[in-house]
Amino acid sequence: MEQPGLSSACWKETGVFGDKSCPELAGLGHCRHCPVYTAAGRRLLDRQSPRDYPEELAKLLAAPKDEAEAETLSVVVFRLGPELLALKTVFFQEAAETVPPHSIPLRTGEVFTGIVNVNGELICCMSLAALMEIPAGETGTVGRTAYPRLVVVARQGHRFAFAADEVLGVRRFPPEALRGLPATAAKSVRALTAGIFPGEDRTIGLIAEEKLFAALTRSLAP
Amino acid sequence: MLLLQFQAGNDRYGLDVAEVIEVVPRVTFRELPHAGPAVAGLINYRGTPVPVVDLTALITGIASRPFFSTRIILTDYPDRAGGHRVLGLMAERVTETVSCTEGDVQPLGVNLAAAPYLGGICLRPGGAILRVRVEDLLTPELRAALFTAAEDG
Repeated sequence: MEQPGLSSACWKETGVFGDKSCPELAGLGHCRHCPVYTAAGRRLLDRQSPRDYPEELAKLLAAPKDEAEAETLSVVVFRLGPELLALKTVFFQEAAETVPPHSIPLRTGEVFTGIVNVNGELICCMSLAALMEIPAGETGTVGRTAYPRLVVVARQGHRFAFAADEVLGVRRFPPEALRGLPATAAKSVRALTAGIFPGEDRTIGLIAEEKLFAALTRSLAP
Repeated sequence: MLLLQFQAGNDRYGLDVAEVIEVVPRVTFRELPHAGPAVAGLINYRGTPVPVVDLTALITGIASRPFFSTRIILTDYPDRAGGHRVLGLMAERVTETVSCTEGDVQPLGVNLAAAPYLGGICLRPGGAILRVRVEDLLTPELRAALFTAAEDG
């Protein structure tokens, strides 16, 4: 597939990083699916490695394989106002586009905000921020666009949706990194949080899923 | 069958991944005196000394170049005593695997006494890939030299 004349950084000229005029692009969608791009990437490895590189790697290879990594806790991190929160990935179903919930007369309140349609299914939409009494406002990391999302979570057949100001994706933590909550944490937050993970610049609160789902179910009662 | 592809000279070869334990970067070797040009030396693989054969040297007679893409393929090598040993194979351009069915690998049709390890050919649009059988890779002398201890013990 390597065509003459196209081999020199064609992705910058006619590909996705250029004017997108490459005829192959229609079928491939992105240069990263193209064998020319792949071959160019592989050629980067045909360079002389630094002199001390094999020595460093020899030390790593001599050590027993570190397999402790396998036991990590996979969580989805999202943001509600100023708080970064995490829920175990197994309870996380999807992050959809935000839609305003349809309110139900005499039923919806501060926590239960209404019904939303997610892929044709009607799900109760809750306000986690109201449940945990997290104040609104304050944006996320400076210099990055935050996209609000409708997060769908499920546990033992109970599905709920809630609005998050931002979903930061899946993170993995070793279980021993989990710390207890500081004494200064608000009571409403403390009631639903299992602990905190020290993040890069902010700590992330891990939600205790059984307490969260119990609290959400309670909030549906009139 | 999935073939781990490598390059020797200008040609592509492949190893059946079933024979491969792990692919690791090129590391420093403890050279073995009088071991011959095809033996790169010994490496410390997780606390065990493992001999490494330079496939480029074995096939083309020229040693592998010290590139990032030059890697060590740790393989499961059946020794004569019926046991299994780890044999390291250093090769250039160990960057791809090629998926092919058993039917894709045709018999070579030639039988080279000097290269008994060639075990079939896989014809691909990008060029043919010769399959290398790990168990036939070492000459009897080389095998005896590298794995004597295990066979005696």
